[in-house]
Amino acid sequence: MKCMDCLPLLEEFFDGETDEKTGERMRAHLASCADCAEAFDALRAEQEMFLRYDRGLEVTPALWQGVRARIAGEMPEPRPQTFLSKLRERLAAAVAVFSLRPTLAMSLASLLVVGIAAGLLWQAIPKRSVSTSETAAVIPPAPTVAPSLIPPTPVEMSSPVAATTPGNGMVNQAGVANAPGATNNKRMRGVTIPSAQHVEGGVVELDVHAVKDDLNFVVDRSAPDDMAEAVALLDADDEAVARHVERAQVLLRSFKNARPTEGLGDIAYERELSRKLLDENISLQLEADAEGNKKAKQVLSSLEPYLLDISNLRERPSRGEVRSIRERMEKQEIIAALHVYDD
Amino acid sequence: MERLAANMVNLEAAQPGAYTGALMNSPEELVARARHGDEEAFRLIFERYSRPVLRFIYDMVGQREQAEDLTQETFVRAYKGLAGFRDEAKLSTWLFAIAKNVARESLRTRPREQRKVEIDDPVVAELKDNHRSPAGALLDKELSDVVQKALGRLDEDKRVVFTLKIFQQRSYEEIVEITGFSLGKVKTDLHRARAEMRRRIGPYLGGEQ
Repeated sequence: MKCMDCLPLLEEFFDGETDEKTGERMRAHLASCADCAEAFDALRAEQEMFLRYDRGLEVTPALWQGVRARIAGEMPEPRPQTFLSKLRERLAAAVAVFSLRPTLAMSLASLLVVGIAAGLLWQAIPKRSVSTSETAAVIPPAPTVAPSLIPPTPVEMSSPVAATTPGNGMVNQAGVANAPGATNNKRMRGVTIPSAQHVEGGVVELDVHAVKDDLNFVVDRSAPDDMAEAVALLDADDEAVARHVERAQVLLRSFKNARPTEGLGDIAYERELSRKLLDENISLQLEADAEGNKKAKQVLSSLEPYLLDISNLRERPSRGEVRSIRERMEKQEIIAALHVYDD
Repeated sequence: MERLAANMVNLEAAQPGAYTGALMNSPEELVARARHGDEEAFRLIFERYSRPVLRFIYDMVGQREQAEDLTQETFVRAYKGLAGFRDEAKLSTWLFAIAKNVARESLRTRPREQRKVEIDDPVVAELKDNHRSPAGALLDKELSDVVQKALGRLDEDKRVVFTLKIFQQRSYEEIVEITGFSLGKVKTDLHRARAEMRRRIGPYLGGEQ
C-alpha cells in the first residue's frame, strides 16, 4: 500500500470501518510510513480532545417529570399480538420459570418420564379391538370438526410419539433457556444486573432471545456484558468515572488500531496512557469503595485487567502479546461495552 | 436511577422469581411493556437513553434549555410512536432518529442568521487570531466553549454526522439509518466536518494544522 492509497482511507480505518483485509494493509503501511503514522496520530489526538468536550449537561428529574406529565393518560395504542409474539412471550415466561426454579423443572421432568413409561406400558397391553361403529360414536364427523378438536383416543393419548413430544419440548426449552439461565448463573456469582449481549452505539442492548446452547460461550461473555450494563446504570453524578471510562475507551480503541510491528515503540503512547489510567482507576475504585458505589466499582474492576495488561507490556512486545490482548478485547467486546457511557 | 440500582441489588437476595424481573429489562421487553402502557418500563427507557439523546440534541441546537425541551419532545413522540415501532433491537437508533428530526424541525423555525455562531463571537475571534495554546494547557471549560462554537458553525448535515460519529460513536451504518443519508454522503460529510473542525480548533491542538 502506498501513501496515496492509505491517506484517503485513514479516517475510515480510524473509525474501525474498513474491512479486515484493508485494515491489515493499513496497519502494515502505518508501521513503515512516518508521514501517514503522523496523520493517524493527529486523528487520535483530535478524538481524545473531542472526548474532553464537557457540555455541563445533566438529566434532571424535572426532565422526566415533564415527559411523564405529557404522556399521562396517553397510552400507546397496543399493537395486535401475532401468534408468534404470543408464543414468544409464553415461551420466555416458561423458560424463565424453569431456569429459575430448577426443582420445579426436575419434578416436571420426572413426571414426564413416568408418563412416558406409563404410555409404553399402556401400548404394550393387548387391547380389545374397537369396531368402526364404536369409533364413530366417539369421534364426531370429520368434515365439520377441525382435527385438533377431535378428542384423542386412549391409544393416541398414550402413544410414544404423543408422550415424547412434550419431552422434546422440554429439551428445546432447556436450550432456549440458556440465555436467561446464564443470567441466573452470573447472578449466582454475585453479578447484580442482567447481561447485555449487544451494544448499540451509546447504549446497551439485552438480547434475551438469543439462543446459545453452549453455556461456556455465555459465561465467557459475562464480564463485559455485565460491565456494559453496569456502565449504563452509573449514576448521573458519576462524572469522574464517566470521563475516566471515556478516556479508557480512547485508549482501547487506539490500542486496537495500533500497528503490530515488533517493538518499535508503536504502543508507547498506549502503554503510557494505560499506566496513567490505571493509577486513576485504582483511585476511583477506592473512592467507589468508600462511597459504597457498587456500580462504579463494577465498571472499574472490569476495566482494570485491560489497563494492567497494556501497562505491563514490555518495551518491545511481540506481535503475539499484542494480538492476545486485542483478541481478548474483541472477544469480550470491551470497547463496545464502554461505548455505553460515551454519551 | 437509584431506584433501579436498588432493585438490581435486591436481586442478589436470590428470591425465587426475582430474576424474572431482571429478564424483563431488555430493550425488547421494555418496549413491549411500555407499549402496553407500563409507565415504569418507559421510565427505564428514558433513564437509559436520555443522557445521550440530550447531549446529541444539545450538540445540534447549542442551547441548553431548548435541548431539554426537545429531549422531552423526543421521548413524548417516542412514547406515542411505540405502537408503530417494529425493530425493538434498534431502540436507540430509533430514538436518535426521532431526536434528529425534532432538532432539525426546531432549527428550521429559527431565523437563518441564528443558526450559526456569529463570526464576532469572542471565542471565534480568538481562533481567527490564530492564537496558539497547547491542548494540554487549555482549560476544559475553554476547550468546551471552542468545540461548541466550532460545532455550531458546521452546517446541519455535517453537524449531525459529526456529532453522531465523534461524540456518540455510532457506526456509519447506524448514521445512515438515523439520518437517512446515503453512505457516501455520510463519509463525505464526516470527512469535511472533521476538516472544518480541525481548521477551527487546530490552533488549540498545538500542532501544525
